Amino acid sequence: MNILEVEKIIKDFKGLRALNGVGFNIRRGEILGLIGPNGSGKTTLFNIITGFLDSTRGQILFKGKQITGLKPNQIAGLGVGRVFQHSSFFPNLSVDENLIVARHLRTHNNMVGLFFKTRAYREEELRLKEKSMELLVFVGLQKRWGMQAKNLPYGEQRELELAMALAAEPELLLLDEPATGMNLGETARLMDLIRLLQKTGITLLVVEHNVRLVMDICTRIVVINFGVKIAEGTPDEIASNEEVISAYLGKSRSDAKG
Amino acid sequence: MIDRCLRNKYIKYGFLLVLVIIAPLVISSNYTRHLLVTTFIFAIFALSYDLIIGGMGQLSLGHQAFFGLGAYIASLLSVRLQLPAWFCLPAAVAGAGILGLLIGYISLRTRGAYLAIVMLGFAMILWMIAMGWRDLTYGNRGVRGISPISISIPFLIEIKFDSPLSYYYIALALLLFVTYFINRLKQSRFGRAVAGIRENEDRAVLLGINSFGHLLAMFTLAAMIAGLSGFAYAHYIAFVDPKVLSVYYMSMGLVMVIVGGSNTLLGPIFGAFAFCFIPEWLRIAEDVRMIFFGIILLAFIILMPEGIYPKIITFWHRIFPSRILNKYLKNEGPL
Repeated sequence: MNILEVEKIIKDFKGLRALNGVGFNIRRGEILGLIGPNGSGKTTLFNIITGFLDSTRGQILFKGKQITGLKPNQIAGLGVGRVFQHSSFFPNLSVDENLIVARHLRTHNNMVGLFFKTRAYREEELRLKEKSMELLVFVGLQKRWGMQAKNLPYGEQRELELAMALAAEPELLLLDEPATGMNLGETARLMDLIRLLQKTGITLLVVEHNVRLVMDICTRIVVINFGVKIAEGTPDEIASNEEVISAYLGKSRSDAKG
Repeated sequence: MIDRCLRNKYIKYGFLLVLVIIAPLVISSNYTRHLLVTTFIFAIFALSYDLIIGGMGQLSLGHQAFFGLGAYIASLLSVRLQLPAWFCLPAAVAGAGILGLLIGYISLRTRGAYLAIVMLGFAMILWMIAMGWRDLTYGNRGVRGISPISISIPFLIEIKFDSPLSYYYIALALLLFVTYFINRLKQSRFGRAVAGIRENEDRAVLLGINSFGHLLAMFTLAAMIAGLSGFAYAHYIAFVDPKVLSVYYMSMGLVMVIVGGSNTLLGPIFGAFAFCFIPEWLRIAEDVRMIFFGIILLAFIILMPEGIYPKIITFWHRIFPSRILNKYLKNEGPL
């Protein structure tokens, strides 16, 4: 079953055609990798999928429904999450407050309870705090409870951001170069996290430059270059695809297998 | 035991509450009481202003429009139509709210400097209307003879709230209500969403938050509370002129918020105290009073940019260390 269908997306920026008929599907439960050289249009595609940009032509279907042209918060409400390329969180709030705000889609306003502090309200607040802790434990940040988010080291900020994206309980999660700035150890942890996420039932679309990561965890890979899809297939198929190798991965097979 | 008392939220609140209730009875100077009343009224205005500056993270240079409109609605309804205060209050709040909705709907499509200027523009238009439309607003002469708030049940009670002592409790009640309301609001799903928008709008949007809608709602609430302070002002001072729509109150509001501590619960209230009382203490140097005031202001902004209130909290926690040192940043309670 296709959770996301990208159909012939064309995007023009005043004379520059950034995407020229890119199309692919993502099946529910898989990890799809999106790779390509810098400037090939990956981030533009992400922005179109999440609603920050409008496509010039083409459409996107999420769970069979049109999402082209919807506003970003509406698309997020339907179950699409995103982790940004550079850290994107709420710097002056504490780590747990970050997650509580991130639970926005999974909690509701209770005006009476809020002002009269009813039991239902207090229980909901407790649930929010518990869920917040759960998410911190999942990414390994539990000892950072109460700490201001901007004081976290970079790697932990990325983990916080992942936790925030998960707080909304998305069905499809877009990871925009999640391993940026990570060393080997952090990258290995990230890969474990991503695999764990897949086990919980989330479908993932990962854009990455780190080839080892992509080859290791993705079920399938889509390669784009200059706004056009040049290959699609399993990691093995991609690794042996001549066009991909010459355009992106390096001169020989052994390079690609890393 | 004393240590535990000093940390217990309810004992601290309770103590302050008692203090604040008996204050005017203990203080004999009617003038000091008057200062306290104006402090409370402007504290409400400052709190509403901080909802935009601290809560939404936007600079508005037109917040005086809502204060002034509330004052004019309350005063004109009272003087021209002889309507009692309990009618003027919701009218002032609603009127300011509608204006807030309109101005916000247009200006919240922009951010930063553009937003600030657009707000200023709207406020100036309102000021000019107040000055020019003499048939409605009495122009420069202002609205006089606003009847004080009163409760009258024939043969039983007849109270006129026209003295600093009596009005003190009205102003206090309004301030307590507004403070409680804002405190709860910031801990609601709505208030947290606005905090998220302030901290990182793109992130918030991706978490499903409708940024325009939330900001507009918060802006309208801020306008309504400012309208409430305008109502309180009109029925106490009993005189409203176009000055209430001038940049004087805008700068006053900004000063109170910044000096007191933006995005905190008690900060703007401290700022209101500073603004109302410091000029009084400087009365000894009559002619250069305002210059000294300006110097003090600059000193605050340079030395204590986060405001009085956060500094006080820092010192308090040095003396009485608590596990939750950054509590004031989370707005979980005034103390």
